[in-house]
Amino acid sequence: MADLKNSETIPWVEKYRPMLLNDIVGNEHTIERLKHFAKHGNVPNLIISGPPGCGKTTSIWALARELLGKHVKEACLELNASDDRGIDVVRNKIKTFAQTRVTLPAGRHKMIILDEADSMTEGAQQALRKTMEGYSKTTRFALACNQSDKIIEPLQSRCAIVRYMKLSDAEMLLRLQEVAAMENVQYDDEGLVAILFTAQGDMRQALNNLQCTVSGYGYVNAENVYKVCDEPHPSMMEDMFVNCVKGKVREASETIHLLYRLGYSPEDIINTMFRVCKVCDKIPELLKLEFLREIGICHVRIVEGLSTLVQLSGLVAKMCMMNEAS
Amino acid sequence: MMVTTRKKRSTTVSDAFNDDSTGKRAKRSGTSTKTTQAESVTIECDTTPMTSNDLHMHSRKLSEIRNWLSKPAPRGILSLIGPPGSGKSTAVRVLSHELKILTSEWLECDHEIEDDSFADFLHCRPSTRTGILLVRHLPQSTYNDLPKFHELLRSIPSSSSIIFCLPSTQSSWHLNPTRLFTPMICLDLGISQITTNPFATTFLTKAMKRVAGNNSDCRDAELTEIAKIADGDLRKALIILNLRLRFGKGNAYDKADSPISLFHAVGRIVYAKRAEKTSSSWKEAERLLNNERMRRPQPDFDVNLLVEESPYDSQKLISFVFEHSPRFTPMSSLHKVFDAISLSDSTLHVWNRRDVFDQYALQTVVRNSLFYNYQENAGESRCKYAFTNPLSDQLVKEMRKLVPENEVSMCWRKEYYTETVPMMSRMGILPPSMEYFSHNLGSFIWLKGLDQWKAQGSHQIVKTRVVEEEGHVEFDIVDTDDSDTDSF
Ligand SMILES: Nc1ncnc2c1ncn2[C@@H]1O[C@H](COP(=O)(O)OP(=O)(O)O)[C@@H](O)[C@H]1O
Ligand SMILES: [Mg+2]
Repeated sequence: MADLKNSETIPWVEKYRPMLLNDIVGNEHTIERLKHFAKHGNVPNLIISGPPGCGKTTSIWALARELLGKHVKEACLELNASDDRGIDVVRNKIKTFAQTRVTLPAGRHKMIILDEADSMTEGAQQALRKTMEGYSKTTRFALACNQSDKIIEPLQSRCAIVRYMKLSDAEMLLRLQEVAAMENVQYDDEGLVAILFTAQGDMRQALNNLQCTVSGYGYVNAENVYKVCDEPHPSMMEDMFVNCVKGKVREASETIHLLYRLGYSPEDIINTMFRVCKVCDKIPELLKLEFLREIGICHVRIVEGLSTLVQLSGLVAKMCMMNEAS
Repeated sequence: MMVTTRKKRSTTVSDAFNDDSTGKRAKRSGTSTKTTQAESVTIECDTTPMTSNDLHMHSRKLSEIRNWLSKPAPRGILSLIGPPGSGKSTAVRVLSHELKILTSEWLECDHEIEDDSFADFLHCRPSTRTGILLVRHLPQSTYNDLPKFHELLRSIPSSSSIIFCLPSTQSSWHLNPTRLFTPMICLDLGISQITTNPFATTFLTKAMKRVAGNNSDCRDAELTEIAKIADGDLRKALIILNLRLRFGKGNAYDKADSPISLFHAVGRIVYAKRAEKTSSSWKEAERLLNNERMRRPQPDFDVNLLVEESPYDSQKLISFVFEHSPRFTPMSSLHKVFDAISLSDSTLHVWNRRDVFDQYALQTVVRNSLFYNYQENAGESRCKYAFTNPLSDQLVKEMRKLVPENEVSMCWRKEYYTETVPMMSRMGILPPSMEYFSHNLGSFIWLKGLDQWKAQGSHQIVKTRVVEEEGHVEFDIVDTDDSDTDSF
């Protein structure tokens, strides 16, 4: 534990954050659009929406770098959710930056990146509309968010929307293999599949899980990945669903009880249930849709505070009844 | 030209609009950098209307605004409210310029809390007798303390001419100007109201055509598509058009934003096509189902892929399924689909955890719709079908048109309830706004029982006329138009 080399302490998500638009995996069409922006300048205000870890922040910075070149340090300001972004900050910090003079080539503007803009309060967004109008000659805004409809309409109206999709497993795998090769990671295929499953399309999560598995166990196989990620093993869950289909309530319940005893919280368990259920190919169509509905209802209860084994047991019992009742 | 901002009262005189980001003034003041490439001249530069002839706006709305502006001073207060990009600010700017009316705009000052500067601004008379005060951004405190704002409105001297020109926001009730300027308050204080509507698609298309000019390769069909994406918002349409003209087809907007691709996704769900060949693992799983009649061949597409990669708002997708299902799904199983939608609307709608529960809602609705919409050999008999936007959107627009001026509209505005009751706007039957009941101004006399009235269905338009009598107001409910009843 003592002397880790400096390079080993850098999180891989940072170490392997693509610097150029060209190096970003997936969402080809969207990246293509950004390349046009980078090349021609005169970028409109942007709303960049997409699920977590698909490269939104990465690509805005890449765009800023390609647009502003050596000026990027002075001409680009990022505020993310961990910064205070109340109304006063929007007023003062952003205003101060927007008012600073930076000489830029024609068609280039200063850029303000507001990461996770959907977590800004409505009031702060409202204040932003004013600022956006006021400095439109010199400054462009890029708002990254998970859902563009959480941005108030007057801002949406002033921005071009750029959308990202969740990365596909194939795209994630490509990048994971690259990183694994560069870090000399020992792995087997099931290990990478496990990483993909735990990350659910979130590249940040995938890289973190990979790094954690490597530093915890050295070797990346499925078992180690699930241990590191502290998630129930999906194959256990799959077996449970098969038991539900067959109406074997005792066996199905055993799985849930075991997971609960191992210390997984009901929310962890139900999350894994949902993920496994929707892709499991051993459940007949009718049962699958009913299972998913019941899991959803149970999840709502858990979120509302009924985070108990009773809820999970009830769910399992219900699922075991369904084939009989069909 | 920098806008002068004094600490206390910040006003600029005359055409103090920064909104049209790349407007003429920006060009005139020429930020020294000479643009050489043609492409770096953004198109709005050349198209920001400078005369009322160039204004893209309904002539009726335009003359309403013009009439108000041409009134002899003092004109009183005008609330000019409409969705973003419906041409409010531009109309005021151009018209007041043409009518040579001096405009002073409120530009927020830095310390609003416990500060009277906004009140001072509203109380000050513009420099000439004929000028107007313009408010396009309200101080934040206004939204937090409604009674105080109304008190402020009450205290405004009758010698004033003030325009509140504010964007309506459906996504946020808190910021919604209709919350500040309720019909009641406006009636009470004699505030004139003009609301602008989203532009019709044909209108946007025409406007863009003028901007694009003849020498562009931008076809009409493409313009229509952009207009549909912009969804009534001219500013947005011009941003997209700008990108289209500079970067060519395909780079101006996301394919997913195109309504065609949304229809495509909905189409897949409601057509519910099954694959020609069923894989052996699918067959094996289906054999586990006890009830043989409920076994199904494999669907033609991957449900998870459609659900997870759908960039559309899940509520929107579900509302499409809701409205179009009756056309496709056999009546005997329709209740199953609606049951799933109802569940997604109630239980699975957890506002603060939408990221998680939207997935459940979509999975449940899509899978149920797919499963129950199954008829053996149905493929051939299904004819071509044109998708439309959910009816209720249209309904709201129609209602706005029908409500005559100066009659308090009981056609409950969408804004009142879409926030709190997610699918309500899709139901056709709109709930009476609580806003009206909460005002103790008068009693309501229902000529018809509420239940009867509801039973008449979605096409019912109800108007009210205000009768002032002995100090209280009664609402007289009049039915109109009930001929059109064959919705689904
Ligand atoms: N499309 C991608 N191609 C390559 N790496 C990616 C991609 N998306 C995300 N990553 C990796 O995941 C990390 C987080 O990406 P980020 O852009 O911050 O995601 P978000 O979309 O949440 O802003 C980055 O440091 C990068 O290493
Ligand atoms: Mg980010």
